[in-house]
Amino acid sequence: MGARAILTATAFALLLALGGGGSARAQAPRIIALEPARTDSLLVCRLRTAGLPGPEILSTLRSGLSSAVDLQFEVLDGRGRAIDGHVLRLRLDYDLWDEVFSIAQGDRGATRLPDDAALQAWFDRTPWLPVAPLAALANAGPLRLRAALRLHAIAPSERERLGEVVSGPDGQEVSLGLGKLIRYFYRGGARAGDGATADSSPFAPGELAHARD
Amino acid sequence: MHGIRTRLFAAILLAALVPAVPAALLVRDLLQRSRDASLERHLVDGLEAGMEESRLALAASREVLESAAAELAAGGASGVVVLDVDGTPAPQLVPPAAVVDAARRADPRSQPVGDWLVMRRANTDGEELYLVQLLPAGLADRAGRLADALATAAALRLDRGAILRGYVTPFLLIYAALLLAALGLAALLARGVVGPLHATARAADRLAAGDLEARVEADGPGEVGALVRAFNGMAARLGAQRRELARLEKLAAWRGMSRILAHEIKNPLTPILLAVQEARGSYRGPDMAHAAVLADCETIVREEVEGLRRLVASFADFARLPAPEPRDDDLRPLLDDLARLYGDRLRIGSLAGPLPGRFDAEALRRALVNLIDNGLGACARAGRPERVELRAAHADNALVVSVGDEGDGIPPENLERVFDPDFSTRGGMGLGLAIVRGVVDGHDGRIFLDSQPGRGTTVTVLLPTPPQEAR
Repeated sequence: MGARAILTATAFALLLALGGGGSARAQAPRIIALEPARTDSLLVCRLRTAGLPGPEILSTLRSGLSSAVDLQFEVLDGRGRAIDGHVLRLRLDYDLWDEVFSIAQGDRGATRLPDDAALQAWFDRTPWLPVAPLAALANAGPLRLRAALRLHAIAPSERERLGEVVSGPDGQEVSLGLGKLIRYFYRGGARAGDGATADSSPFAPGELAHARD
Repeated sequence: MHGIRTRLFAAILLAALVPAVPAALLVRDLLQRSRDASLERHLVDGLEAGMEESRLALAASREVLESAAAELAAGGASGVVVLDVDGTPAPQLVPPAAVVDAARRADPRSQPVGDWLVMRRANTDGEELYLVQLLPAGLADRAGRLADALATAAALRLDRGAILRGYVTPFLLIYAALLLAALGLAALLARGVVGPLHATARAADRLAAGDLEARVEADGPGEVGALVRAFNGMAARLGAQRRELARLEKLAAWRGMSRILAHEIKNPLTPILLAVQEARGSYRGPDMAHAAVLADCETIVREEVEGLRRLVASFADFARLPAPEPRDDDLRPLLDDLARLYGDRLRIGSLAGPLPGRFDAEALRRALVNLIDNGLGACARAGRPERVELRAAHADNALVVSVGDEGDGIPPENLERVFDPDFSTRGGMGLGLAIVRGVVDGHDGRIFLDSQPGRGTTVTVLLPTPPQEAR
């Protein structure tokens, strides 16, 4: 094989790799729109997304493992400075016995979703999610809302549980045991997942509509 | 030396690395087997079969519940109704409050909550009917454990790379720490062994270049330490022998020269003195002044000739200094003789009675006379009464004789040289202490000098006196 052929093959392989990357990007989660609104006391927001939960999370969930989606909301003032915010972790589960999905927000009760379509519909247009107390923003000028989401194919809490499975039970040992060391270096599912960020249009807190389903 | 260090490092490194290879292979194999065992397809199949059985049991309970719910709804029942496993109302059963709450929020599709199955529906009158049915005993628990096992198996399958890293990284870290510790130990050992060897080699080079003071400061463990100490001892002996040799060569040269000087000076002295006496005696003239000059000249020449004779005698003594012939003797008669000779100027500080020893009395007398004369001279120079104290005693198989004065003392920088034949601070030839040293050396003895400028000097002579039975 001549040098020209090798160069051609390499270029072709690069093009293929770039093409693959492009298709991967096409499947990456996106935030299509942010809808800020208000309740009596809170600034809330609804997301319209695409590409969620995605095949990797679906596969993880159907295997019985938990996934997670971190949502970070930031309220930005006119100069783009964050003046308030909130981080929300959504825990996604699939009950292998009952064969339903569930999404839990922090300590709140879980929302049961019977199938993939219902799960995708939940993400396509999420419920109203809390962002910040309105009282702190009452006198602020025009604001914008920034939302960033990050996917954890295996939820951090699940990772801790798996760490115990991999390294053995921790017990109450104070010393540095081999189990602790293995758990420390076990980073199953800790790979930074896909993410997306989006900003809302400017809004004045006092002029926001009330959140209604 | 670098070769030894390198070999030492290489040996320890090899000793640390060689076991690591099979250990790494063993760990990898164990991990592989462990992982493979945990991922055996039939195990997962078994878990899934168990889960399917649980699902079927759940479905059966659902059918029972939905059938009972339809019947109860048709009958107009409302509120919370608790059912037994077979779907019959069981008011005696009391579900947890959380289960009842779950029933109030439930969908028309039943859902398991703990050991219960709950659902909500409307009766024929449109009122809410909340149904809570007990599940077969242990069903929920078994399903939960199967779900956990399946999830764990899935995680192990999906995450094998991370799990492997979770094991391998700590292993590598521990191994790296051990390796570093081994290298540190090797470095310490190398320094402990090679350092003293380096120092010994450098000292040997200096010694070879003529530096007789070259010593190894470092010490080392075991044989290395023994080598260092042996080298230092050898260097010390070599230095002492070299200095002794030089001293003896110098002494021999001085003796040769003293013999020549004594001969060349002594011969003309008598004719000179006779000639001056003749010149004075032959003058018969009336000039009294001239006669007086001649008399003065004769006196001066005679005194100077006497001085030269003493010098010649000193040279002759030094040149002819015979090798001492030590024999068993008593020091007491010699001390008594010296006491008579010097009178009040000498104080004998020894206990009464005989002082047996092994020495050449004549040679020792010569040495002691020199020491006493020096002491008296030092007292005179210091402006103090001319008095010398001589002490004699036995100690550790030696006859110890010391001569002390309260004279002007010897400056520290001169202590090393006072026994040299050509060294004197008083204008003479400095043969006195050289003679003393010769006598002491002839007895295989030792001589020590303790002097403080302005306060006095004590010269101590140790003459070995072997036990009687050893002689």
